[in-house]
Amino acid sequence: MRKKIPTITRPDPAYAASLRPEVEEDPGREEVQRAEATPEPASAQPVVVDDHIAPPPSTPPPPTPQPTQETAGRAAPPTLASPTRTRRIPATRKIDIRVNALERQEEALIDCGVDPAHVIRAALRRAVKNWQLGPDFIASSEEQRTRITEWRARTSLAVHAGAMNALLRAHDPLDVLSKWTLIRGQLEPRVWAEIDAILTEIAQRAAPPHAGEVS
Amino acid sequence: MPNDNLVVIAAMARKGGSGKTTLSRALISAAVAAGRRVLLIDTDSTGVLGTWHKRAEAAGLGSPLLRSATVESVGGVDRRIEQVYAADSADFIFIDTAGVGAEWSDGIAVLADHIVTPVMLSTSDLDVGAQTAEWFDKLRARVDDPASLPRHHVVLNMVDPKTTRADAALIEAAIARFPVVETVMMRRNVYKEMDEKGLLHAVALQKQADPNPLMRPHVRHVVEALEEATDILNNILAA
Repeated sequence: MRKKIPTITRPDPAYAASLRPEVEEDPGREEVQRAEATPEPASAQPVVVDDHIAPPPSTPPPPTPQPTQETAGRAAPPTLASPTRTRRIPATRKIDIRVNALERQEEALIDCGVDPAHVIRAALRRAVKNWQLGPDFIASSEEQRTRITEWRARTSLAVHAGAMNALLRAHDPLDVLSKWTLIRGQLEPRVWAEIDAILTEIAQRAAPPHAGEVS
Repeated sequence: MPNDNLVVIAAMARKGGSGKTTLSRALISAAVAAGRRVLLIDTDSTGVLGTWHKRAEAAGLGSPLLRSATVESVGGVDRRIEQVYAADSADFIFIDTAGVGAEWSDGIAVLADHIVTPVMLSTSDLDVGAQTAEWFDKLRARVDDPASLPRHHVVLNMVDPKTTRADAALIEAAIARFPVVETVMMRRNVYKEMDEKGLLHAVALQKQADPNPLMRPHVRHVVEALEEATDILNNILAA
């Protein structure tokens, strides 16, 4: 009788280890983006990664959305004189966020003539354009948010990993809270302020020319 | 009738260039010279051992006792062993493997009766050899029946005939770290000839029959290599 062939109960990944085909992701809970190829110059501002591209509304024209880093790079591609090079940018962590308008903004959003979801998304883009996550925790506002969940902008936001880690160490050392809970106190007021600003811009554009003038 | 005396020997090491294929050729030569039927299974994707067998056959320096097969999966090796066992078509199966640590290493190891790992005499080679030995030790804890695992043997390879003090120290270190086979494999030019032409005993017979009488004394080197390989094989089987 041929000898018994023992059954292997578990593998030995250390012995079979080899080069990995891709850069290993941060073993932490969120993605850490360590470096990427960016055209010069590049800023380290937060980047909004849209879940979908919103179609442009018909009338009236919406406020011009502020370009993100990605769209800015496409609009002004690097030339031979300023070649693209790989550079190290600050480590970032991608956070899943959900932003909505305030209850007090509901009526104006409905009446403005633009899809309220587009207004909120545009406001989010403006709010993060020159914003950096601070290491100090700010409690979430008590203001009443709208209950219309269809307007909610859900996306991911790359924030400075160092500041995020500082927030985690100070306010969530056991890592039980969502990352959005830790940063919404800093970001939401900016978004709401931008919604107000956009609504004002829309109202100004919608106003008839020379309104109030005496002919 | 199944062949209950079938012996499966796998040459395995984590490092390429350690001498697995050369050791396999030498052990195959020793088994065939002793009149045993041998099947060589080449699992290395380079196919070096299988190509060597074809070259030997083409040069008339093979043997009717030696057959070869190329197999591309662990399951294929298992099936081929079972066929040979059931049909009693060989006394020895030699499995040559690629010089890497891989997931298939476990699968080949459990099929064999003996695992041989050639290790050259250098600090780095000893370190890599230790990795293979450590893998095999850990395998005992990763199978349901450790007693059914093969025996592991380390063959010191490419040992210079004029051993230096440094070599002696390395040999001592190897003995302390591995289950070293008593007979070492010396550095020999005849292994190049074996690679080029075929089985050692066939090469020896060819030299013996050489019409040029000046070539006949060279048979001694081939016979020495064959004796050495036979000693190694006997050491492995006796363990």
